[in-house]
Amino acid sequence: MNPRQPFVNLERLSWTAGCLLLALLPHLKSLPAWIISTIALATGIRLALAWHGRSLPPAYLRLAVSATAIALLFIQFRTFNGIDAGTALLSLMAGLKFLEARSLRDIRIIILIVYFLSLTALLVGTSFGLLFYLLGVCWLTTAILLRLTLSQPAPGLRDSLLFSARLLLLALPLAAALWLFFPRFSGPLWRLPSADSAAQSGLGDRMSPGDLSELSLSDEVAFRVRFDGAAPPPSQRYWRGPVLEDFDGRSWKRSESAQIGAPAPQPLGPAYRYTLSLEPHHHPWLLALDWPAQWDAPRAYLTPERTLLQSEPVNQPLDFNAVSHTQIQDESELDARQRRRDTRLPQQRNPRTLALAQRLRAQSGGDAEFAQAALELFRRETFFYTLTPPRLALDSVDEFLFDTKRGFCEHYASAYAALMRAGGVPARVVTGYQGGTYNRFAGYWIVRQSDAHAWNEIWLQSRGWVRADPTAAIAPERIERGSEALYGMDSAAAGTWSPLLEEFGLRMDAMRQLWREAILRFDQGSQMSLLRSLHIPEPDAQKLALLLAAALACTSVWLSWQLQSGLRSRHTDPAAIAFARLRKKLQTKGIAERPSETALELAARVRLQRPDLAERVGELCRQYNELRYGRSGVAAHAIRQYADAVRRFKA
Amino acid sequence: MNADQRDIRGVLEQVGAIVLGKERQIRLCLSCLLARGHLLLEDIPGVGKTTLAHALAKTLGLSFQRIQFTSDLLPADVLGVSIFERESGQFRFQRGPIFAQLVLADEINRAPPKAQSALLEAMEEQQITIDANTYELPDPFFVVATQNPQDQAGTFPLPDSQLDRFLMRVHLGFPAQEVERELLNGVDRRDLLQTLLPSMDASRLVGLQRSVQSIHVSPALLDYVQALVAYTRRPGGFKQGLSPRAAIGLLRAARAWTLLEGRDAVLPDDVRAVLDAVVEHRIGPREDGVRGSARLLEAVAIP
Repeated sequence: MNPRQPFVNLERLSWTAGCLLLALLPHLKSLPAWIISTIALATGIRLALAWHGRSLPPAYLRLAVSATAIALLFIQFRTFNGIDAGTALLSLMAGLKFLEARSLRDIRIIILIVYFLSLTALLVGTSFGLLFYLLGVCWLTTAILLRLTLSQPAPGLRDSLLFSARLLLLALPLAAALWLFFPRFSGPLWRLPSADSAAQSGLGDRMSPGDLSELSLSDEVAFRVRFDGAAPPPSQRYWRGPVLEDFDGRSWKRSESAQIGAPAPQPLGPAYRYTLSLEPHHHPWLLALDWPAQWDAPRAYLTPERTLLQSEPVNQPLDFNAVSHTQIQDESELDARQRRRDTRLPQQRNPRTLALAQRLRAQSGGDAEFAQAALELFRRETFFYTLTPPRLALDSVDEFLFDTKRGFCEHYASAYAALMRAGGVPARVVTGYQGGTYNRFAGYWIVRQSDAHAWNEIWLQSRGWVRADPTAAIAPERIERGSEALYGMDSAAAGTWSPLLEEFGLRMDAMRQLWREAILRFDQGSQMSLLRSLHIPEPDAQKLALLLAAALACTSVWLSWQLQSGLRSRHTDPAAIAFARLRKKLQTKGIAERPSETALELAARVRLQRPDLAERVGELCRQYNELRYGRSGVAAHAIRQYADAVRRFKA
Repeated sequence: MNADQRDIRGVLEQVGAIVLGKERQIRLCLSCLLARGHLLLEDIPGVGKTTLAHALAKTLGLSFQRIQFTSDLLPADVLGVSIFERESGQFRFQRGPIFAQLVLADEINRAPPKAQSALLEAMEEQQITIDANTYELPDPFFVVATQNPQDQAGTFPLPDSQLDRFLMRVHLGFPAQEVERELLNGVDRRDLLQTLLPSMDASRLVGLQRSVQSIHVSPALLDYVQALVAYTRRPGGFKQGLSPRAAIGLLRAARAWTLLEGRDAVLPDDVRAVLDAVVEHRIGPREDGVRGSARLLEAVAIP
């Protein structure tokens, strides 16, 4: 490199482009493809120009490209506001800025945009992996920024990385203070991505044969639960989701609530308190232990079907506390309309099932005996519980009950409900999850999509809605030991590695949950209780802001003290410490400190700038040289005298 | 100490009367010799390089030889040659001009590398070997080389490794206006040289060199020297870092400068005074065009 070579060279551009790439990675999924290719193209062209030492494209071309790109962006998003459009605009600007990067200032602007881009990733993602990734990006970007300096030599990469890490560590207390005390708002400040843009996952409001068995292949976490005290036994761990009541012969569908405000059931068993951390599934319902009695999710209400529902879909991780009873006494009456709905079967479908139901009904006395007889039938006949049931056509219940006899929980639930309805007993399908995996490292339960389950509720006179689970009749191990029992049977992949892998998986999950409980769940309420625990009466946002200011001030004082002591610790020689003090005193009199100045040079400068001080400073400088550089054997008292002389010196 | 100072002042005054207005350069040259270092004077022809070297030799009472380096110079022209003597029927070594206490190698970069290296090896070893016979060079032994700036036509630039053997490289530069007037008015400097008497002898010079060795160096000063050297070794910026030999040379030169200043302990100021002359030809101009030594002076904090 020679002095004539431009500052913005291939190496610096490549480093900057690398930073931009790292900051863009979390956005790759959400950015339109054309924006990504525009950025890649602009950066690539600029790097190629730098490689060949060619000059930048002419200004009118750059202007035309930018104007076109921004117009396209507006056409696509119809706005520059919002997370998606804003992120796209930022990314585009960073990419196009490369085309005109010719000075240090341009590169610094790109770096600044890189910091912003990294931040925007946190507006949509909250995982702790993402945070650590972004911290890494921030670290690297700061190191690159440190190397982008006109003063030479630029520090090496290793030094820059070390120094950048130090800066980040020094910023840690500031970040902690802001995190603890920056006033939080109860609602989001910006509109979050709407449900239609995100793929829905987990249970749906419709269940056809094969839906749940497909879902059961997914290892994805549906939610995590931490119980306050003991967890209910496995056979009671039913997590209630949407209730399906409309049957068309093949599929079950959720219907609009017929009835408002069901009377509260009488709890029979113990109450279970728990905190449920729901992953976003983009449906409006929440999951809760059957049957929920209290909950603190602010926008959720209980439907007459006893599903927790909220007005908008769950698009963000949602944490709430709830109380449930696993046994209740429901004494509500079923009105005629609802009875009609819950006994309705489609005309001319599943004729063999109808015949079977009538036969069973004739053999048994009351509704309860009939329900029991149907369960017995499932237990007696040779039904197989399998993850890979054969496909069923329109008369799915008939085919399943009489031909294939192989099914997953949704087949059993569907068939059982159809049988019940054919016998005149009101019945419905409840979907949700059953069981869960206990994380022994952190003491909570993980419920995955593979724990998805469907069961039935039948209405019995004077007992109300009663849970009936035909799956428990056929494959009791599914209920007692959870869905894992099935995989144990189905797959022989349980090798020697699996215990280790399982432990690793659980530990990772524990870390994620800790992250969620300790960091993400920290909200306005937590802030107020923190203030209360600091004995601050009537906490509000204003006090929070005051506290924030105080914390920031403390942190700044701490930081400057750190820097100060860092400077001080450079000297161990008392003469040097005294001389440094003299320099500080002179600095207050307009004689700036210059670290590369010797004592004699300082004295000469004082002679020019402050002739009135020249004599005393000259003497102090001469003495300093003698003490610090003179022959050894300087008496301790001489140094003390010198320090005193400096202390007495008043500029 | 007083005798040292008196002698030094005598030398400085006498040389200063010949080479006018170059007090700082003369002091640098004298410190270089007192530090037992070889000296490289670099400048365009006609600014008084040869005169300065000559004046120093005469004033210090040293035996003096001048070798004019030319493009056809052979090593034997520098070192000497064995001649067959008919009377005795034997080869006798005819000593070359290098056998002097102060050798002026004029325009060293006009000679091809072969002749250059003959001189430079002698500088390093203070002895020469010819036909398996080793000849000691006189003590003290100094080489004062002059060279024209590298970009002049017909030069063989000294390689970095050989530049490193010169303790200092000093630029003379044009004289100031009033000094030039005096030069134009006054007597020819070469005539003045003829009349010059030694102000000391070689043994006195060795005594001064010994005094240089006894100048005190404190740990704080060593910190500074090490900080300077470490700075040049940082990646980027400098063509190459300073070698340990250069660091030792820097300290020696600073000691000699301290002796000239009449003090008994080296100050950072002394290091800074000789820094440019000692390090510039070793580290070269920086990639950004700034003088390396200027950057060092400004960037390295005094510990």
